[in-house]
Amino acid sequence: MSDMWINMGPQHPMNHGLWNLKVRVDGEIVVESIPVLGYLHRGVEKLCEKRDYNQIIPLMDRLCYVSSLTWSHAYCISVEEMMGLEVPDRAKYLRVIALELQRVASHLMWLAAFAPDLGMFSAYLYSMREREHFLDMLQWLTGARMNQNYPRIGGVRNDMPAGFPDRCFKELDYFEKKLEQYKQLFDDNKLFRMRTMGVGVLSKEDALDLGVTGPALRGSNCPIDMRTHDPYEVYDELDWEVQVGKEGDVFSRYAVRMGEMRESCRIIRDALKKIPDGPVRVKAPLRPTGQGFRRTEDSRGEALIYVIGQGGESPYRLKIRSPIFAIMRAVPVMLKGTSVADLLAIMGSVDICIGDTDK
Amino acid sequence: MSSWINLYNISYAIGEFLMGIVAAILNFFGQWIGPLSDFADWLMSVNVLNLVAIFIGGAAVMVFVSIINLFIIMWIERKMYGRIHDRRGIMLPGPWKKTHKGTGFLQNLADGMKLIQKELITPKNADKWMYDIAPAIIATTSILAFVAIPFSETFYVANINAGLIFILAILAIAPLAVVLAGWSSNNKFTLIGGLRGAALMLSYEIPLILSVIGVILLSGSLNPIEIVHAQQQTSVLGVENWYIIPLFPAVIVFMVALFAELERLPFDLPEAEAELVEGWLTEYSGMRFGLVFVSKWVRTYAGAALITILFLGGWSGPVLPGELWFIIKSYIVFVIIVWATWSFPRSRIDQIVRIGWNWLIPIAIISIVIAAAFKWVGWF
Amino acid sequence: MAKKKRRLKGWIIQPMRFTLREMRQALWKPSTILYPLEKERDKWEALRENFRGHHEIDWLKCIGCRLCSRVCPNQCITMEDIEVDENYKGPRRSHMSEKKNRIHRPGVDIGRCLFCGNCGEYCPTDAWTQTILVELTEFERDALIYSAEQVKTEGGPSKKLINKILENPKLDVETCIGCKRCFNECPTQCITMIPGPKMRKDKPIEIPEFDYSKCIGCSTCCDVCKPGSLTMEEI
Ligand code: SF4
Ligand code: SF4
Repeated sequence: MSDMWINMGPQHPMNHGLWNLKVRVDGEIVVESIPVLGYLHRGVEKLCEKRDYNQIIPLMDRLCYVSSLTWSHAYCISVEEMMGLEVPDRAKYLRVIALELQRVASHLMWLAAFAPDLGMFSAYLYSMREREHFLDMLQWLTGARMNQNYPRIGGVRNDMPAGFPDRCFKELDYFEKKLEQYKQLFDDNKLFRMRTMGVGVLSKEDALDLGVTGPALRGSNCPIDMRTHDPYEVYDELDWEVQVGKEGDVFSRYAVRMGEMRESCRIIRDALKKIPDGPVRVKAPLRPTGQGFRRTEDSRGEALIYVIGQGGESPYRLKIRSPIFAIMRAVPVMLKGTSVADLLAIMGSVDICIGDTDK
Repeated sequence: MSSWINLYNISYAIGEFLMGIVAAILNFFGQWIGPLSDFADWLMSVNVLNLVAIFIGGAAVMVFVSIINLFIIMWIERKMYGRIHDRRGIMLPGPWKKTHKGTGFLQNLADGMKLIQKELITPKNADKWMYDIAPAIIATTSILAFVAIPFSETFYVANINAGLIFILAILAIAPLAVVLAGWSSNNKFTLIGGLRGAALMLSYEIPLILSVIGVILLSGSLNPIEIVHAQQQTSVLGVENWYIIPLFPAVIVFMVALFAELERLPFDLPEAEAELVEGWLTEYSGMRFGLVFVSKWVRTYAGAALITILFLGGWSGPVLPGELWFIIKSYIVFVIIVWATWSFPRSRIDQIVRIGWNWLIPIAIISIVIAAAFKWVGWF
Repeated sequence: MAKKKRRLKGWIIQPMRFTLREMRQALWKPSTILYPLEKERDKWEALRENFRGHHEIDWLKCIGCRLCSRVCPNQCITMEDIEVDENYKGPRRSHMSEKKNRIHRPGVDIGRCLFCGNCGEYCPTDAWTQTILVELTEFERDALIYSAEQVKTEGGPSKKLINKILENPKLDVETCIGCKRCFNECPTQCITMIPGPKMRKDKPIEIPEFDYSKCIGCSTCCDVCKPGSLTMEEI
C-alpha cells in the first residue's frame, strides 16, 4: 500500500485539546508526523501586559485548567523574585500542599485520558472518581475546584481551614489504598503491558537534546526534577524521592506518573505534619522594577515564567515556557516507525495540554 | 410426548388455522366463482402450509431474538458496565418506575427512535451500492444465525444437519461487510478499520473453528441438537458430561476468538474509537449505524448461545423448562463477556494476530488431542 | 517463580478481579450523584469555607468605594447610583448635603465573572461575601447581569476599614485649587478641608487633610482631582 497522509485533528478523539497531528502512514506504520499547533492561541502573554500584577494571577490559572495552580504559582514566584520578596514559611508550606494536591488531581486527569486511549474506558471513570476527592480538598483549601486563584504575590490567599489536616489524611489513606489496587488493573494487566512496554522509546540523549522535561524526561532514566534540581518553596525540607523510569518507553512514563502520585501523597502528609504557624501573606511592593525568572515543576514538565517589570501597574513583558510545546518537538522522533495504534499510547503518555502550549 | 410440541408443529397448527379461515372465506365465494375454491384447496395443501409454518416460526424466533431478547441483553450490558464503572447506568425511561432511580429498560428503544429520526448521510464520493448494502449484510447475517440455533428441543426454526457449520459460516460473512463498508465509505479511517477487520478475520476464524472440532469429535455430530443430546448422557463422573469439563482449553480459545469475531473490546480494532474515530463505522449515520450497532449485540448473543450449546449442555437442567435453562445459561455467558470487555485495554493489531497464531491455535490443537484421547479411552 | 505466576494471572484474572471488586461495591450504592435530582448539600456546607460562589453585598457595610470594580480582572462590576430616603441607615456617599441621599452600590455581571474572589478580597469593609450558590444558569444573557438590588443583603454595620491596597494619597499643595471634589467623593469621609498656605483673593485656599487611619487607598480622590494634584504613594 502506498503512503497516505492522515489528519489526526483538530477534531479527533486522539487529541485532547485542539491541535492537529499530520501523520503519513504506510499501511499501519507511521513514516512521518508533523504536529500543527496554534488552534487555541489566545494571546495570553500580550493580555498580561494590560493587567496589573494581581489580575494576572487568575489569567495564569487559565493556561492549563487541569493543573492551574502550578501556573499561577510559577507566575507568583517569578514576580516575587523580581521584587526580592521573601514569603512567610507557613505560606510556603500551604503552597506546597496545594501544589501537590493539584499535581495528583492533574495526574489522575492524565490517567483518565490515557486509559481510554488504550481502550480502558473503565479506568477513566475510576480515576475521575478519585480525582473528585482531591478536588474536594482543593475546594476546601483554596475556594474553587478548578481555577483556584490561590497563590498571591507574597503568600497565599487564605489560611487553611480548621480540621483540614485530619480530613486530608483520611482522603490520602483512601487514595493510597486505591493506588495500590490499581496495580491489578494496570501493572499486572498483561494486555496493558503489551501495549505500553517498548513503545515510543525516547532515549536519554534525545530527550535532553530536544528539551523534553517532566515525567517524559524522568521516564528516560534522567532524574531531573525541578523540585530538587532548582528547589523552590520547601521541597528540599520534605521527605520524598524523585521518580525515575528506566526504559524511556510509555510504560516507564506511566510508572513515573503513578510513582509521583504516591510521592505527592507523601509530600502532603509530611508538609501537613511540619507546617509552622505564622502569617500567610506579606505585603508586596507596588510597581516593581526588574526581572524575575523562575522555573517550577508543572505536572507536565518544566514551567518557566520570565517577567520584566518597568515600574508600571502591569509587567512590561511576560514570557511563558510551556513544557508540552518543547515535547511536541520530540513527538516526531518518538512516533517514527510505530504503528497507528501505538501513536495513541505515545501521545497519551505525553499528557498533552493545549491550553498552555498555544498560550 | 414433547416430540410433537415443537416450534414447527405449533406454527404449523397456527398456520393451518389461519389458512383455514382464509380458505373458508374463499370457499364461500367459490360458490359463485369456481376458481376460488381451487385456490383455497391449494392454500390448504401441505406444501403451502409448510411454507407458512416456516414463516411463522421464523417470525417468532425473530421477534424473540431481535426484540425481546435484544432489549434484555442490551439492558443487561448497559446496566452492568455502568455498575462496573461505579455508575448507575441507564435509568430514566422504564416501564415500571418513572423516577430517576428507575430501571431504564426502555432506554434502548428511545435511542433507536432517535436514530431513526436522524438523517442518513452518504458521503459524496462513496460507492453508494456497497455503502448501502454493508449494514444490511451485517444485520441479516446476524439474525440468520439464529435459524440454526435451537433454544430447546422444540424451539427452533430449522433442524439442519450441518447446523454448526451453517452458524459459523454465516457469522463469518460479517467481516466481509466490514471490509466492504470500510472501502466504500471513501475515508482513510474507515479504510484502515476495514482492513484491520480483514486481518482479524483471517487470524481468528481458524482457532474458532479448531476449537469446535473437539466438540464435534466427542459428540460425533454437526447438528446442534445432537450435540446437546450427546452432552445430556451421564458420564463416568455421574453428572451430565458437559463438554466444558474435558474441553476447558477449547472453551477459552473459543471465547477469545469470539471476542475478535464480535469486535468486542480487547479486540475491537476495526472500530478502535480512540485512534480511528469510529473505525469502519465512521461515515454511517442514523439507522444504518443503529442497525450495525444492534446487530453487534445480536451477534454477541449468538456467540453466547453457541457456547451454551457447545460446552454448557444447552437446555439441559433440572426442574425448569429447557428454554429457560438455555436463556439463563446464555445470559450468564453474556455477562461474563461483558465483564471481560470492560476490564481490558484494546490490544494492537500485530499483537492480537500473534496471540491468535502463537497461542490460540496450539491450544486449540491440544484440545483436539484431548478430545481424541477421551474418545479413545471411551469415556464419552 | 512468583513473578511468573503473577504474569500469568495478569492475562485474565487480575484485571477482572479489580473490576469485580468495583462492581461489587457499586452494585447497591454507586458513587455517582444524580446531580440535578440529588445534591450533596452537606458536603457543600462542610467545604463552604473560602468558597467563591454567587455574590452578596451587605449594603450596611458597603461604603461605595468602588475598589471592587477596580480590582476585578474582567471589569464585570458596575457601580450604581441609588437614591435613598432620609432614614436609610447605611453609609452615605458623602456628608455634603446635596449628595446625602445618594449611595453607590456595586452590581455584578455574572456572565463575565470568573469567580476569582478578588472583589471580596480587596473590599475594605468585608461587605462583599461569596456564597456557596453556584447554580446560576439562565436562558438569556441579560438575566445574568445582576443589578445592585439583586445582590443586596443587609447584615450589620461594619467597624473596621482596612487599607488592603496599601497606598495613601499625597497632596501637591502648589497645584490644589480647593475645589472640594475629593472631599465630596471620599467614601470613608476621611477628608477635612483646612485653610492652606496659598491665598486667593486674600482668602486662604482650602486644602484637604487626610485622616490616614480611615483611608482605604481607593484612589477615588486622585481620579476626581482635575488639576491632578493628588497622587497615590505606597505606605
Ligand atoms: S469594595 Fe467593598 S465597600 Fe467598596 S464598593 Fe465594593 S463592596 Fe462596597
Ligand atoms: S469574583 Fe467576579 S466580580 Fe469579583 S473580582 Fe473576580 S471577576 Fe470580578
